[in-house]
Amino acid sequence: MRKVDHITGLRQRMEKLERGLSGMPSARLSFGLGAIDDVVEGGLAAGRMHEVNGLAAWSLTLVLAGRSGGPVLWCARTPGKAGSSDHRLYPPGCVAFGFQPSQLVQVFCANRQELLWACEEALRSAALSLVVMEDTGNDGSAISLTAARRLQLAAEAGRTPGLVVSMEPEKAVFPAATTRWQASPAPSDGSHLRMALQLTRNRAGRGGQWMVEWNETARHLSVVSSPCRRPGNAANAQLAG
Amino acid sequence: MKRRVICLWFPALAADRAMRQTPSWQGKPLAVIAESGNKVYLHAVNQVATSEGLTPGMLLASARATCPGLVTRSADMAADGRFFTVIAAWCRRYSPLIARDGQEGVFIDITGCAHLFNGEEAMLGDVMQRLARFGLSVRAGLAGTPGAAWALAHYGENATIAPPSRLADSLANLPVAGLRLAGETTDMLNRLGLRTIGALYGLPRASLAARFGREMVERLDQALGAASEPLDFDMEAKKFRAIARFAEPIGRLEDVEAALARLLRNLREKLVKEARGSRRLTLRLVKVDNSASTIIIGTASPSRDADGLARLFHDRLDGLDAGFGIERMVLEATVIEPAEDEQGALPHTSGKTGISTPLSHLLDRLANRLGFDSVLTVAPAESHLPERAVTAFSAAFAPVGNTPFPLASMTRPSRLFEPPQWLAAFTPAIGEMRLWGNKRCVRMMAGPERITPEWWHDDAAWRGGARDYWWVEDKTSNQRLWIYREENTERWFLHGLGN
Repeated sequence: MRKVDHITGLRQRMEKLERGLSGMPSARLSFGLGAIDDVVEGGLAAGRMHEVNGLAAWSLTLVLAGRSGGPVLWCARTPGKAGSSDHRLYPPGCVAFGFQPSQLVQVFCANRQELLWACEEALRSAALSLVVMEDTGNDGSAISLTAARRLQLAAEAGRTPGLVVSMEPEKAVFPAATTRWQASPAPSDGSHLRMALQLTRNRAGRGGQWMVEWNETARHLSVVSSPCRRPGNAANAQLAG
Repeated sequence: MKRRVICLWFPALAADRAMRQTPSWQGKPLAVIAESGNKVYLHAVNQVATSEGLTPGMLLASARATCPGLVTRSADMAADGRFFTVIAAWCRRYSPLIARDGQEGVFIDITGCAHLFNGEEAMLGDVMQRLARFGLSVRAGLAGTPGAAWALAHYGENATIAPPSRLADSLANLPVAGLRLAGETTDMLNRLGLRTIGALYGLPRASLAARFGREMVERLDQALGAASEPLDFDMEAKKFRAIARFAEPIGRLEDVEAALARLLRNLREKLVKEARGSRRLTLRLVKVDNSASTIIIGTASPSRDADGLARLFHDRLDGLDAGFGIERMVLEATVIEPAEDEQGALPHTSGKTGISTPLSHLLDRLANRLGFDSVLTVAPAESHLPERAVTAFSAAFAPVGNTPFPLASMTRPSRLFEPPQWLAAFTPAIGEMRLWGNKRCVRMMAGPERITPEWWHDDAAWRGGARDYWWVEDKTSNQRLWIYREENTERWFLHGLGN
C-alpha cells in the first residue's frame, strides 16, 4: 500500500513540474510548433471560439483534435439532409492525423438551430477537450452575431475551446472568432502532407503565415519554409501577395 | 358476490400466429410442423386445414396425402410462448385477475367486472369479436367455476354461458374428458358407459373415489363448485408510477416543472425501496379536453437522480402546448433495471465504474433531444471495405475511448464521399479530370491498393468488382484525392479526400 501511495505522490509531483516547465497555462491547445505557438501565446485559448476555413481546414482541425488529448465532439449536419455536404468525416482516416477516433463523439443535427444548440451545450458542459462545429451549409450564410456570442459565452463557461470549421476559403462564417485560420493544401514532396497556414485574425496579437508539413509517423507539425519562396504556385502566390 | 370465470382456449395458436405473419396464406390449408425423434407431425393446423380433415398430432406424410396443397411451416415454440404471453396480458383489459392454463388457455376471473361491459353476454361477445379480429381462433366458456368454464370452452358449444343457478345442467351433456382427468381415467369411464359428466352426478361418491381415485372426485367437485379451485394469477409487474392530479388545470411551464419535480421525487422513493433505477421515463400530460402529450426520455444507465432527470425533461418541455390547461400528470418508469448502490447523479458506463461524468450527462441530453442515433461513437469493424470498416454506436450506450483504431488505417482518407463521385472524363494517361465543374490536372502519387468486394455480402455499391485505389494530388488546388477504378466497368470514381 505504502509503495503505491509513494508512486502516486511522485506522479503528482511530476505533473506539477511538467506544468511548470511548459511555462503556459494548461488552458491552451497548442499546435506543438514553436513558430505558431509563439504568435498565439502558446496555442488556441480554451474558453474561446476559433475558426478554421479553407480546403485543408479538416487536416488542421484533426491535428488539433489529436493534440487536445481528450474526447472531442464533432457536430455536423445530418448526411443526406438539406444543408449537409456530400462528404463527411471518415473516422479511420483520423488516425493519420494523430487523432484516435475512439475519442470522437459525432453529433448530427438536422438544422443550424440544433447545431448551435448542441455546440452550446457541449461547450458549456466542460466535459470535452475540443468542440468542433462543422458548418458546410450550402446556404453559405454566416452565423449571426447573437448566436456567435452565445457560443462564446458557453465556451467561457465551460473553459473549452470551440472550433468552427468550414470548407469555404476566404470566407468568414463565424463573426466573433478569437483567431481565424486559413488552411490551404500545398504541393507536397510526395510523402508528407503540406498545408499553407495563414492566421488572418488574431484578437490578441499579430497574424502570420507558415508553410507546415504534417509528419504522420512522428505526429508533429514542422515548418517547411516561407511560402513566398516557392514560386510557380497559385495558392502560394496568393498567400505571398 | 358469486364467482364468475371465463376460460379461453386457443386451439391453434401456432397456426394463427403463422397466418398473421403471412397474410397471403389466407384461404390455404396451413400446418405448423414439429419434429419428434425422426417423425414429423402436425403441431397446429388452421381452420382451412381442419375442414380438410387434418388434426394436430397427425404425421406430416399422411397429412400431405390427404391434403396435397398443404402449406407448412416449422414450429417456433419460444416465439409462440412470447405471443401467448402478450395475449394473456391483453386479457387484462377485462379483469386484473388472469391465470394461464398451460400454453394455450387463459382463465379470466371476471367476478364483479361484467357490468362494466354491459353484462356477461356482451362481455363475452366483445372478447370473441376482438380476438377474432386479431385472427385468432378461440373457444370460450363462462361459468361459476374455472373447471366448468374449462369444460364449456373445450367441449361445449362455443361461447356458452352457464347461468349460476343451472351450472350442473349446463355440464350434464358434456363428455367426461371435460373434467380435466388423466387419459386412462377418461378411457375407463367411457368403457363403463359413463360418457357424460351428467352420468356421474347420481353415483355414490365413495365408490367413485375408490374406483377412479380421489382426483377424479375432486375435479368433479371443482367443476360443480363444491370444492374450491384457487387459480395461480399472473401478477402484473410492479408499476413504478407517480400521478399528480390538479384541482385547477395548470398551464405555466414553471408549474409543470414544479409538479414534475414532485413526481420525480415520489418515483425516486419507490425506486430506492426496490433498489431499481429507470432507463426510460414516460411523462403523460393529460389536458382538460382529455388529449394527452407524451414525453419520453432515456438515460444510458439506470438512474433515479431526480435533479438530473428533471434537467432531461426540461429540454423537452420547451414549447409544450398546454392547451386549455393540464389536468393530470402521470410519470412512469417504463424500463426498469436493478441499481444497487445509491447514486448521486446520472451514472455512465465509462469503464464500467458507473461513476457519473459530465460527459455522460451531456451525451444523455444531446441524445434525448437529437435522437439516440444522432449522437454516435465509433469503433473499428472487421472489414477491409472502406464503407464497412467503421461501426457507429449510440454514444449514450457505448463509452467514449473504448476501442482504438489500428494504425493501419493511416492510408485512409479523412473524408469520404457517399456515394462515390463518378469522374466522368478521367484518363490516367493524360491526367486530367473534371471535378465540380472545374478541369483538374493530377499527378499520380501512390497506388494502387486493390480492395476486393466481400463475396458473402451482396453489396450493390460493389457490383463493379474489385477496386484499385490510388492517392493522387490535384495540381490546381493541391488537394489529395482518393480515387479508384472499378475492375469490371473500368470507370473512375472519387471516394475520399485526404486534406
